[in-house]
Amino acid sequence: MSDQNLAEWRKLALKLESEINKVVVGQEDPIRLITTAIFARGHVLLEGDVGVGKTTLLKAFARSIGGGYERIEGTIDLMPNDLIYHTYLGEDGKPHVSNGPVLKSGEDLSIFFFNEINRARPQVHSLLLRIMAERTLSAFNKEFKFPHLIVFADRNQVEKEETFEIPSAARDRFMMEIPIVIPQQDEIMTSLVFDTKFHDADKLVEGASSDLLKFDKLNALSDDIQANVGASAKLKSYALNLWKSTKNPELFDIKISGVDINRLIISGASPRGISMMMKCARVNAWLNNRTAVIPEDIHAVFHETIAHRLVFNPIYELKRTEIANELTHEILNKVSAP
Amino acid sequence: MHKYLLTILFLFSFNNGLSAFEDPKKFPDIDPKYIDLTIIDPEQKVGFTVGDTITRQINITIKKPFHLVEESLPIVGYEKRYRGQLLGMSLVKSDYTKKISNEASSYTINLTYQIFTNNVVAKPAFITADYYRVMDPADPDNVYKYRIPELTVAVSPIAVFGQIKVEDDMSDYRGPFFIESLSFYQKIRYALIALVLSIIVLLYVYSKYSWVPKLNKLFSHVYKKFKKTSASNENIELLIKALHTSFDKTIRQTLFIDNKHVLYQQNPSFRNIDSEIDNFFALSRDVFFEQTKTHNISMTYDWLKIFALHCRMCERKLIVDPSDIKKLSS
Repeated sequence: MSDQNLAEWRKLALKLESEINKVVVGQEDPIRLITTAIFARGHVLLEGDVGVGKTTLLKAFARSIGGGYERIEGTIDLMPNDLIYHTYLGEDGKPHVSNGPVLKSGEDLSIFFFNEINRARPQVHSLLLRIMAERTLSAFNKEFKFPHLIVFADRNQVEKEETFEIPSAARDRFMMEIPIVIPQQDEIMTSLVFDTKFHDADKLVEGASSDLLKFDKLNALSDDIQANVGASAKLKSYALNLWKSTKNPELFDIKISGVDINRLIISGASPRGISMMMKCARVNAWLNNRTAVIPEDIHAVFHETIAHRLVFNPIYELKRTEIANELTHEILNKVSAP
Repeated sequence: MHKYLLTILFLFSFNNGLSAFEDPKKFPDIDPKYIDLTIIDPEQKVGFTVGDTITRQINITIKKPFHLVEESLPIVGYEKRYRGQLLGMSLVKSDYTKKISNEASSYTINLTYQIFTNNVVAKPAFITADYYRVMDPADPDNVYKYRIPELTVAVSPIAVFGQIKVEDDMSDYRGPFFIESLSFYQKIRYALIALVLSIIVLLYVYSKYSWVPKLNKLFSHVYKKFKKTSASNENIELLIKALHTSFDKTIRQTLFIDNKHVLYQQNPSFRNIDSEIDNFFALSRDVFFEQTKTHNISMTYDWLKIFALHCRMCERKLIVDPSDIKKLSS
């Protein structure tokens, strides 16, 4: 793909962002990050309270990207086969099998949204993780492929009853964990409450341009972005130091109040994690019309691509969100570039 | 015989010794043309009480052929009397210096009196007049006197009547009266010296071209290390890296373009070179990460050195003159 094509795609990407920003207000940073994940072809874990607009956000993206959008609610009694098929008695009185949400759109499935993933059992996680990692599924003696699939999942961090914490191996499959928080600006909050256009989410989503991107071209585009956006030796050295600091923060003089930094980390970022971070950084550079990654591109995605992969000592897991925030912040503060 | 002679000599000298304690008023007055007299009296005239001291300085010049009879100077321990009554003050310290020339002999006499009276009501008091004797050595039989005028003061917290005009002595600028004021005056003197020195140092520090050794020396070291080095790609990289390190140490974290507000919070002087800092980061990005532009090595290196100098001035909170950068770019 030529540089000209990349430039045209970039315009489309920015157009996509502006369209979504019209639908979901006050979420510029998450929208930029989801856009980045889409062009880096990575799965995203959304973290946020109920009713903050996660579903609306994803629906709007699905509409603009095109392709199939499916959604399933995580519940404690959900079983893996509920994702693949369901059975019913037809009008003819015979049992019938129809495709479940994963198979319904076939290869065109572009966004699969798993709501409250931590309410589902580990068996369900296991199936989903295979789909995420390999983008294939074996069922009915056949292998189904989902080459354009991106999985979005969300988890409610507040409620812990009847939930199954996603294991670290599963978290590692997600390219990013993006926090969705309620906007703090009074003007936006007032609009959300009193502007009636925000009250009907379906109508709101219809306001976003449809099929703005060709979902089936995104994989090739992503490869081109990764091939065309460079990384200098200094940048590689910087990324390497960031990676090391996630494993041994004490070597970089990183300190967190109330935390024994020597005992905090059980496992730092994985090779997959750090490569995903660089993929996202390259996309961020491309979105900012640069042909090489700079440290600020890494900063833009560092917390969201790394924090959820870190495995902490169990005594610190209860305060995971706060400690992870502070740790990634301190890492960026202490690791110097160049 | 020998005994008689000794007795006569003793009586003669005793007679002469007694003459020293003779009533000085009996001597004739000397012609005033032979005397120049100035007296420096204390400004304070009222409010004296027990223990206070009063110092007079008497500068007297006696022209030739006359000389001062130094034995006629007041003697320490002598209590002043007036009409036989003790005045409640005595001379506690007396010293003098003399300077003799061909034309005259000059004396600077410092006399310190201490007050012993403790009147409960305001009452005038005075240091009575003294009579200094002068004589011509060539004519020792004729002794003359010269009157040193009295000094009138008021002993008590205030003076309400008498010869002292209280209203002339009510200055607000005069500090409290201390028994021994010398140490306080010394402290004030030292404090004033320290104040003046501090002001000079502050003016020096905040002036444009000041140089304060070992103060926030991060950028100072960088500038000193690189200012005489020649331009090359390697030196450009080294200088940029050194500047990054200095910035990082200044704010105790890594400085990037998106957290430069931390730098401005810690040292607002850097805000004055905001555009230069932006240009520095753009250059750094290009040199280390993007590598898209071709730089004029010499000009880039000169710019970096001036930027290092500006950073050095900012870390010392001095005023940066951006004109040298403009000159370079023009």
